[in-house]
Amino acid sequence: MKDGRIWRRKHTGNKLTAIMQVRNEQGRYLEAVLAELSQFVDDIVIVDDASTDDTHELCRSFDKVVKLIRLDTSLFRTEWQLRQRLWEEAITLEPDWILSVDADEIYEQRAALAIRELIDQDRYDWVGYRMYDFWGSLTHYREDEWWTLHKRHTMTLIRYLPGYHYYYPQWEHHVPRLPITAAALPGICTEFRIKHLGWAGSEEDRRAKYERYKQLDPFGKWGSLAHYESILDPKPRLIRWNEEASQS
Amino acid sequence: MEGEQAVTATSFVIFPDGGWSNLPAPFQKLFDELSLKHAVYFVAAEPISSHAPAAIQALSLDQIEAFGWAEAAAVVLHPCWIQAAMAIAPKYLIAMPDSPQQGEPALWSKCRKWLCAHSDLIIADAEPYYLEQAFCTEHIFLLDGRDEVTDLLARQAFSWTLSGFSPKPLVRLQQRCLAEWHNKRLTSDSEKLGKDKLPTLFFHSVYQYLIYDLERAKESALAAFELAVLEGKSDALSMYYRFVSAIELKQGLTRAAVQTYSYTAVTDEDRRTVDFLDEWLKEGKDGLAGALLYRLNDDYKQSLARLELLESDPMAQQLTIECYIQTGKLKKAKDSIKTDQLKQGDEQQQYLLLRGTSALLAGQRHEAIHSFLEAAEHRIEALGNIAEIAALDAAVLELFMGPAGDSSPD
Repeated sequence: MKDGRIWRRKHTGNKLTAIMQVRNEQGRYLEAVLAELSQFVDDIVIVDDASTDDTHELCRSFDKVVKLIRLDTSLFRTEWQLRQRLWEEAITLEPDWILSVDADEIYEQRAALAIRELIDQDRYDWVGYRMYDFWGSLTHYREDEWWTLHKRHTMTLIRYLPGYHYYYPQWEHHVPRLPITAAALPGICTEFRIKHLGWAGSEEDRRAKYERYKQLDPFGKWGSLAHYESILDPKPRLIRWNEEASQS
Repeated sequence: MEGEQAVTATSFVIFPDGGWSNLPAPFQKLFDELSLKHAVYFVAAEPISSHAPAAIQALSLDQIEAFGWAEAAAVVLHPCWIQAAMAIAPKYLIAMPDSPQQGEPALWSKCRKWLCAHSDLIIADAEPYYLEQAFCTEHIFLLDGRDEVTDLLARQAFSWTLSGFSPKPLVRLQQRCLAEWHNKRLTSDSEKLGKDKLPTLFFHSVYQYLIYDLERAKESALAAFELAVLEGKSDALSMYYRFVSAIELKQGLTRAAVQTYSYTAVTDEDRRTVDFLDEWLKEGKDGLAGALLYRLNDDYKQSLARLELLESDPMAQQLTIECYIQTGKLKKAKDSIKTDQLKQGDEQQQYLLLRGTSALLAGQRHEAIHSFLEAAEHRIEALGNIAEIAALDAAVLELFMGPAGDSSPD
């Protein structure tokens, strides 16, 4: 706000900060995710939600991780507080754009390559991507009644507007990854894809996740019980993933 | 009315919108009560409905002109009476028009605006229109039967006006009541509100804004914005968040307010406006930026108050004229224009149209027609204004005849 002027959106030189909340990610996808992110973001802010393994050390080993907060007590049962904390830590770095990434999400290469072009403009304040749920392997994603995330766009990248009202609903679970009020601003939906690998592991892993959801939300207050049950579907509809498909 | 010695209007004449039965129940109650103390007349071709109080007498169009207006108020319920009501120069002009209807003729909308701009008192029967007018004028009340105290204050304002006293002190009082009414709903009935929660939150914010409880106004506006986003409302930004900029402006935070507005500027036109505002801030013209920002939030009252302090600035003069026109204050707009600086063509024509309409509202039909004809020399479309005079005459006649069935002594 120099010379009485207000803050304006920048066309060039925008700083891109990735934010991530992690918990006991050792031996999973975190290392690959951080390695990939380090190639196209300027810095990374992580809140470690009281991990009991070596997740913290793993995060610290990446130079781009400029802020790493370790919580002594997990906030997973009041997820909005965890999201809020991560957000507050991130904005102290005065980012221009914030990319919200989970510890099991990989941006396909062409998405990573295009990201500067997407943020160096002054028309849009958020970007939507197609998120694919990989299932039981790194070769197939799931698409059936309850698994259609990739059919719509997920807002994972937003411009940070100083003074704007960013708000997370105070929900215990399934809290949106970014403040919902960002979605009211003009955005652009792209056909770039994100691989969500959270379900790509073994059947045992998926059952463990199922049990956790059922324990945290036994009556389906924060999500759909039918959706939870579909995790155990013995014959999900799987589609082969085509790397760098012809979508643009 | 202000500045004059209080003079009581011993009678008032209702210029109706349909028959007695068409009146909203709270209006009927008001007229019923007042008919015990004042002589009340109802402009109608035939005897008034038997549902009306016996004391209320019919008045024909012919009788209107000869009526003793020096001591009588005109109470106008349909905007099309504007010309007739202003031409007779009543002691007080009280507007009680119905709220704008979707698809109504543009002429009615214009007339409603002019009517409200020239009235000593406005009484609205619905909240959205009440709030719209509360951003344009001081003497506005809501009478919709929602609760005893709110209605009482509106009825009191009517009586005060007839007695020659300004109802201004009652305005804020009623707004406090309305703010509390919404607050009560939000605190005690929040769960039951359902789809009404969003408008309730927003209205609560607007009333807090009107009564200068700005922290609470902001709190409610932001809560409304959050809810609007959760409900997927496409106008969340332009309707609910934008209002935060008006609140910040009233808090004296001009730059923050412009910043907030800038985030809601989505269209190219909005963004160009932000460029102007930003430039003015840079030049230290915060007052001008604030005036325009109030207007962008439809708060013409605050905008004009700011502009009055910036009289010498040519841009302020232009904004002032625009504000007057937007709020229907045509004579003020006309008087503010420096005719020797008008450019030939559009500007000249606009001025002639303004002069014509202003004359029409002052009851000077010939002068009005003359101006419209002169304007038509520049552009033939100006003849439409003459057609509007005829349309108004026809509407008045129709209103006078009343709806079939209502005027019969049922």
